Amino acid sequence: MNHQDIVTEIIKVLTPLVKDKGVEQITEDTELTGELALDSMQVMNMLLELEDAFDISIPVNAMADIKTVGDLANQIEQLMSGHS
Amino acid sequence: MSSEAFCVSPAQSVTPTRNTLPLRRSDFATLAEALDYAAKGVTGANFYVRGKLDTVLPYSELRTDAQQLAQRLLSLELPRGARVAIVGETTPDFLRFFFACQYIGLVPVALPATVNLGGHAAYVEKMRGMLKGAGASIVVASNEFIGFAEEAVQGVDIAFCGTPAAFRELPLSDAALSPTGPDETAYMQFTSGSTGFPKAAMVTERALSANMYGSSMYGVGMNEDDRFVSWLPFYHDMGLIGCLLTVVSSQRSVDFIDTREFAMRPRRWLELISTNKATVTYGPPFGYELCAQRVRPADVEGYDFSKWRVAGVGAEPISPAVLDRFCSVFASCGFKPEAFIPSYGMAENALAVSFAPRDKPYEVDWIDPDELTEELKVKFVDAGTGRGFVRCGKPIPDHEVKIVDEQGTALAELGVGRILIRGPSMMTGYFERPEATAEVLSADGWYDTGDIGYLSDGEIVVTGRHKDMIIINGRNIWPQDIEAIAERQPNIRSRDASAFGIVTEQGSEQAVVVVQCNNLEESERTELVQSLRREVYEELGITCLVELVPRHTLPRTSSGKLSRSGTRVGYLKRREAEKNGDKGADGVRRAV
Repeated sequence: MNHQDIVTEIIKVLTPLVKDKGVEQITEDTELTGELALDSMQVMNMLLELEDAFDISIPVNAMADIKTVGDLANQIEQLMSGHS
Repeated sequence: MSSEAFCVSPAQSVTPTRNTLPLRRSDFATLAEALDYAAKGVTGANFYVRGKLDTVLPYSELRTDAQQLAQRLLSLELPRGARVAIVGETTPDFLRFFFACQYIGLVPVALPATVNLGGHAAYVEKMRGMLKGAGASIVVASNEFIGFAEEAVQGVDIAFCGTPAAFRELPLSDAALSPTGPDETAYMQFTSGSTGFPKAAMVTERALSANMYGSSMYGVGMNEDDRFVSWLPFYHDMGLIGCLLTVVSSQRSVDFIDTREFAMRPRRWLELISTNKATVTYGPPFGYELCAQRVRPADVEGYDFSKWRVAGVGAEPISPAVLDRFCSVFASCGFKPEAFIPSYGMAENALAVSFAPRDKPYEVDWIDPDELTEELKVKFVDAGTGRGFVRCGKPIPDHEVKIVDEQGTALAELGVGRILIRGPSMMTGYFERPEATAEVLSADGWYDTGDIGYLSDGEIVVTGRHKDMIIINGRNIWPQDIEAIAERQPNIRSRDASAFGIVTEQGSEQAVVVVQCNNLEESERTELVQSLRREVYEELGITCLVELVPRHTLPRTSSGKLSRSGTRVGYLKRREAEKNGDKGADGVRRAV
């Protein structure tokens, strides 16, 4: 699975979470908490779905430097290749 | 691995519920004494990770490990009473370090183990503030957190910062162990202070003992068949005192799952309660609500909650609807409404102030909300109408509660006013914050809780707060923290932001910040709102509604200070006008 596939999967997970928020398009550069206004439960739900989709476990410290969809994809890529 | 490596054999099984020791209900003078006694039995703490049993730590082993670790900490030659900051992850090492301190008169203080999405810098800053606020000499952080800890200690005077493994490399001192005595500080607990001004409550062994005794003896009424299951973090008083220390001091077994795992997969907590036949749990209402929302009908059929006799609930206002919903969802599993024990407490009083009576269903006072807020009067209305407040029981023995008006005059039953408490569990004060201590704790021992409420047949009913604090999912959020984030944005000046909480239609609390600014371009407005929202999330872990208003909109008090309550009234009026189709009046924009 390449970077773009991961981004696509993340966007698939995010789309229903933000459907009422008037977001036109989610891209790699979309900010998760600022632009999409995810709340803590939505962040949890997103992580849950991503953990299941990619069969990974996202450690708590991995969250700290994720601002955008692209950051999240990079982190997942690392976790999948075991170099977190 | 060294002889001290805490490896787990695959064949291990959880510690039993029934102990070989006679039950003692937290009647020890100190925590070290409590663990010394518990170590003679067979019970202990069990840690579940990703749905599987990960580590079993019988109290006998905990004591051995803690004492050995204490010998190593002694090699650092810290003065007695020095603070040991431990990142409060749900791990066996937290217990080992916490109890190691108890054997040598050091003072443990738990740090939050939660990093928000994108919140690297904010977490490091918060940790640094707490390390300074606690005057910590030692920092303990797991591999996951050590990176943040090493950043946080930059410029702070710390004797040793390391992972548990690094501490196990320290030499063993041959100095004698000398446990913390009854009048020494048992631990410090960061309370609901704002992040800019963290306050750590100092609690002595004597105060802690008094509180745990009250909980074990009267609140929970501990018995030989009790077993705890907890997802609460150790950096929260309910998790630390309620679900760890009280459990050790009454020699019960406990099963832990990590807080984040619970938030993502609450059914794992329910499964544990069912499988391990747990009898006692604690949690804020939102935790029970999360379970009721997430559970699937097929799961409910499989659960056995017939042994669950105490489901303590507190730490935030308790909506009767949340308890009702949980009861109805899980009734078929054997969950009984009388298991819910609404309780009232705070870190300044170690933990518990009161528990609702056991073995009878929770009671709700239905009262007229207008009479309450405008007249400070309790006017009962028909059940299910007006607003329902859950009764939180009478204070535990030897603890007093009184309700006072603004002048400090004690009110009779059903008089609504400030809730004050006094008793043997009280903190000695906030660490190195004499003014902050004096603000809340009077010379004659009365502590002003910051809550508003009344007494009904001697039972405490909490109706609100006179502090501006906002409580979201059991966590306390200070408006000044949100305002500070707003005021550091470009184009925003000091005293341009006013934050407060509102109650949503679902009955939960929501933070709002109203920001006044000059006319900005649409793109600038969007940018301002988004960066504000992002920074609030990174720092505080909550979402905040942002409303931008023209300058000179925010109301001020007669002394020229911003009025949060006035801003709140104005905000609600504008929302009401908007609902009635009056959109865009006064150039006011919808909150986003």
